Formats: sequence, structure tokens, C-alpha cells
Amino acid sequence: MNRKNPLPNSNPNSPNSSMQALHFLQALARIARAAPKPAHSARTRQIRHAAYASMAHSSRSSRRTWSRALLHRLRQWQQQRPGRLLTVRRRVRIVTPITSRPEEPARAETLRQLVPGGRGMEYCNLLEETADYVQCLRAQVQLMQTLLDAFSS
Amino acid sequence: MNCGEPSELPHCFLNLNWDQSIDQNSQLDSALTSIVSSNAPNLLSQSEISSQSHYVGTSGTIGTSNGSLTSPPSELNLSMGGGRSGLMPMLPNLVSMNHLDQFQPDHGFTERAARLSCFDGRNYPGFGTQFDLASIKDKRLEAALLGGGQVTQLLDKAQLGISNAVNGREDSSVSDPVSGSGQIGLAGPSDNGVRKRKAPAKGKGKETQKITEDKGSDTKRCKSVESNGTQEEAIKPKPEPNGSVSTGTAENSNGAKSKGKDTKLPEPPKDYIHVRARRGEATDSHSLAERVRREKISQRMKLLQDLVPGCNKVVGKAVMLDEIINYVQSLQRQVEFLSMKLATVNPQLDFNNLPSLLPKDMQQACAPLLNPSFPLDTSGSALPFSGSQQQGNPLHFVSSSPSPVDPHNTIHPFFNAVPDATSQLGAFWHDDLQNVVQMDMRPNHEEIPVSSQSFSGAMQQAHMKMEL
Repeated sequence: MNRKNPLPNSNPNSPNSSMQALHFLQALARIARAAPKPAHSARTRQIRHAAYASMAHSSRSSRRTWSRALLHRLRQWQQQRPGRLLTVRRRVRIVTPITSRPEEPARAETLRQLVPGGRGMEYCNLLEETADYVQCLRAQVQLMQTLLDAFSS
Repeated sequence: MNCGEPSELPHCFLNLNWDQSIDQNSQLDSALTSIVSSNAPNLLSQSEISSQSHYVGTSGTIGTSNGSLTSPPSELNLSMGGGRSGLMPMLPNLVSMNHLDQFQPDHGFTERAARLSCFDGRNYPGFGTQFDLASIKDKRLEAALLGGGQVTQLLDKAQLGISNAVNGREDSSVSDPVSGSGQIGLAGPSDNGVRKRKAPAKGKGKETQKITEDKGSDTKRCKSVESNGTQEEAIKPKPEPNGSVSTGTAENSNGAKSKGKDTKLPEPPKDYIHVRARRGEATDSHSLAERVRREKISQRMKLLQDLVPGCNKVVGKAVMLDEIINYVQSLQRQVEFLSMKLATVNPQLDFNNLPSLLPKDMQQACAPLLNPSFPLDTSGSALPFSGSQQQGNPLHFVSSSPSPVDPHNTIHPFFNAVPDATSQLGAFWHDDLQNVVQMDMRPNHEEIPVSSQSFSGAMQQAHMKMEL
């Protein structure tokens, strides 16, 4: 499911978050439907995956490095069944290995670990990706919050 | 030493800046005296003529090179050809040159003059072409140096002529001599030594820096993008300010005039990024690229600063980076926490009751959703969140169709607009409907499946699509 349909931009606020919310709701519904075994942790995991997937599929982020990396990571997570202690992780190093460059501060490595796909990027691009990632994360958090409020009221 | 007052012609001629003691000076002296007195160039001895022609030869080239500028050089040319009869007209030219008080030739200028002398006449229109200073033979330089002051004087004139042309003319080829003259000083000492100023450099800081940068980049022969861009820039500037540039560069490089603050003007957008080296900065291609990079990084940090709340008070890249990292971590933790909460809430998700959760204007849109008799098979069940209101609530996300809340109309334009998404939506709601129906709406159960079978195909199709 890789359609990146931009919704018609009659919504002035944020077509990105519309797309994001759309995907998320779909995923939620699917989870709700397919939940005969409501293991709480499994559900949590599923919902989390759904959240990240909807983030990655938002129209703004579809061209971003972090969204692709995030999807890749998601696939790894989904393939990894819970309870399996040993997972073979294939790390795809796309770019040259990053030696800590003298230009960037010491915390840049932490940032790289946080932002998906951050390891292959230069510092300059890393900052840009971080900005986009933060935006999407914030939108996702807001969305989930609103959903919670809506459902629990 | 400047020959400001032409007291006596031959003496002035001799007083011209002949730095090197030349044996032929005396010969020239005698020759000129004889010329003036007798007005018979034929009196010149062959040796004198040969020695004279040596100088004339070197200066003659300059004459040809500046042929288009003033007439006297052309006469010099004649003198070269004749070698005898041309000396007479040459003298008045020298006189006229003597009157040019602004000259202050010096040693450095001699070298430069010598370099100029090496350029052929054809080079003058080709002054626009970059001089390959490396091609200047050193032996020519020495020969020209031997020529000494006469060459210097003539080259003073040449320089003056050039700067005159630069000041006077408006065509773009003028800029080329500027770059040429700008480059003249490159191979030699970086100090131009051009003390004279044809036009006051009226605070043309940008041009001086431009040339400075140009010089710097030329010196290093860097092929970097930035330096190429700046070279191109320097070549196509306005011609008139360039007149002051050649002289202004001297001041800038000499530091004789403090230009004040550098001005970074916006570059004309071309193929590549233009960078300007600020005053006092290295003009190396590496440092330029690094400066560009640093500016990009600072730009992005500013962007991040706006995104991350609470970063405004913090100043400094390191602390800001910490803040950003903290923020990203907190957001991720929030996502996990909320997903946990949603997991507890989710089984109780009652999409049937969803309309009650939504604002009232949505409920009308949701009404057909709950109406089983609604012809849902057109293209999936409606998600008629036809939002005339568009709020920040992400639940109003599908409020993209502007048409009024009309169950029949909303769906179709909505679907037409977003065909793919709405099929998902249709399946989405349908799935939930089924689910919900099975869970809650027992009484309606027999109604829903009737219409649900028509969707089974659509549902499975959408189901595949919904595989995340």
C-alpha cells in the first residue's frame, strides 16, 4: 500500500496531517477488527507500528529519507515476532560509514540514532530530516491525543 | 622619481625611471642630443640605433598593443619600423608622457610593465582573454628589465591608457582589461603597486572584494564552484565601476584604505551557488565551501529552533542540539505511551458511536453511514465527512469536499476527488461497520450483511491495500 495520494488541498490547515490521520485511522480500524486476541502488548505494538506507518505515508514526508528508513525499520519490526529473542537484523548501509566528523558536535551521533535513516546522512541533511521528522511526530502525537480524547469521552 | 617638469627634453628622457644603470644610457643621451640638435636621425650611429631599436622594440610592442588608444603609440610603431625617422615624433610623445604627472612608477611597476610588454598587439582586443601569466617567459622579463626605464615609462603610459579606456568606455570588453590588469599583479607580487587612482573608489567595497576574491581564487587556480562563479561574476560586472576597481584593488590589497564593512550583495542566480569571501577571510575554495556549509547548518538550526519549543532562550549550537534530542525522544515516548493507551481503548472503539463523538455537523454526514439501506455499493460506504467546517481536528480530515452535507452528493464528489483514498475509506468504514455490527448492533445485523456481500470483493481489495 504505497499510494501517496495527496488529498485535494481544500483543507487549508494541513493536508499532510489529513493524510496521516487517514492512514492512522485505517490502521486503527484494522487493528480493532483483527483483535480477537487482545494481548495488550501486542496491541500496543501494533498501534505503534500503525502510528509510524501513517507518519511515513503522509504526503509531506513521502519523499524524505527518514520516511523510507522508517518503513524499512517497520518491516523489520513486523517480521520480528514478539517472543523471538534472536532476530537477524540486516543493516543496509547505503552510504559510506560515518566516522564522526570533526564538524559536527558530539551529540550528533545520538541524533542519528533517533532519527530513522540518520546514519547515512551528512550533518547538514540530518538537521533537515530532523526538522521534518519532528513535524510529523508532533502531528502524530496530536492526532493520537485527539483520538484518545474523542474515544474516551 | 617623476619627471614632472620637462626642463630639457633629453634630460627628461634620461630622467625617466631608468632604474637599472644601463650602459646605453650615455649612448642614448648622445643620440638624442644629436637628434634634437641636428634633426637628422641619420646621424645616429648604427650601434645607437640598434640599442635604441632595442628599446623601441620592446616599447614598440606596447605601442602596438595600445595602438587603438592613442596615436603616439602608433607613431612609436612607425619608429620601430623606421628606426630612424620615427625617433623624432617619438620625442614629443615622450614629452607628452612626461607631462603625465600622475605617474609614480616604481620597481614593482617595472616588472609589471615588463610583463605588459610581452603581450603582443593582438592581445589588446584579447585582453578579455585571461592572460596566462605563466606563459610569460622570464627571459623576456629580464630583457624588458634591461630596457629599463623607457619601458617603464611607456608602460606607465600604457597603464594610463588602459585605465583611461576603462574609465571612458562602456562596452563590456572593458571589464576584461580590468580582470587582465587585476591578474597582472597576480603572478608578481600580490601588491599591485598601482598607487595612482584614476577615479576615486567611492567606497566600492564590493568590487574590491570581488577582485580580491577573484585574485585569490585565481591564485589558487581552484576549480571549485564558488570560485568559478565569482570569476564569472567578476568578468561581467558593470564596466564603469570596474574602472575604479583596478585602482581600488590596490588600496584594498595594500590596506591603504580601510573599506569599512564588507557588503554581501545578493548574487544573481546562475547555475551554481555564488559565494563571496568576506573581507579578511580566506578566499580558498575549501574555506568558501565550508562557509557555505556552515551557513546551511545554521539555517537549519534556526528552523529547528522554531520547531522545538523552548529553544528560543537557548543560545548555542551544542545546547540546542541537546534540546532537540530531548524533544525528539520525548515525542517518541509520547507516541508509545499514547499507543498503549489507545490499545486499552481500542477494543471499546465503537465506530457506531463515532458520530456522537464527532461534532454535530458531522453527524448528519455520518447518518447515511449508519443507514443500512443506503446504496453503499456505488463505491464503498460513504465517509461523508463532508466538511463544510474545516477545523484543526484531525478527525475532520476527510472534510475535503466542499459541497454541503448531502448524503447523496457528498459521496460522489468526495470519491471523485479522492478515488483511491475513498475506496480505502469505504472499506475502512465498512470493515468497522461489520465489526461493530457484530459486536454491538445485533438487531441490525441481518440488514447489514445483505449489503455487505456486495462489498466483499471491494473489501478484500481494500484489505490488501490496507496492508501496511
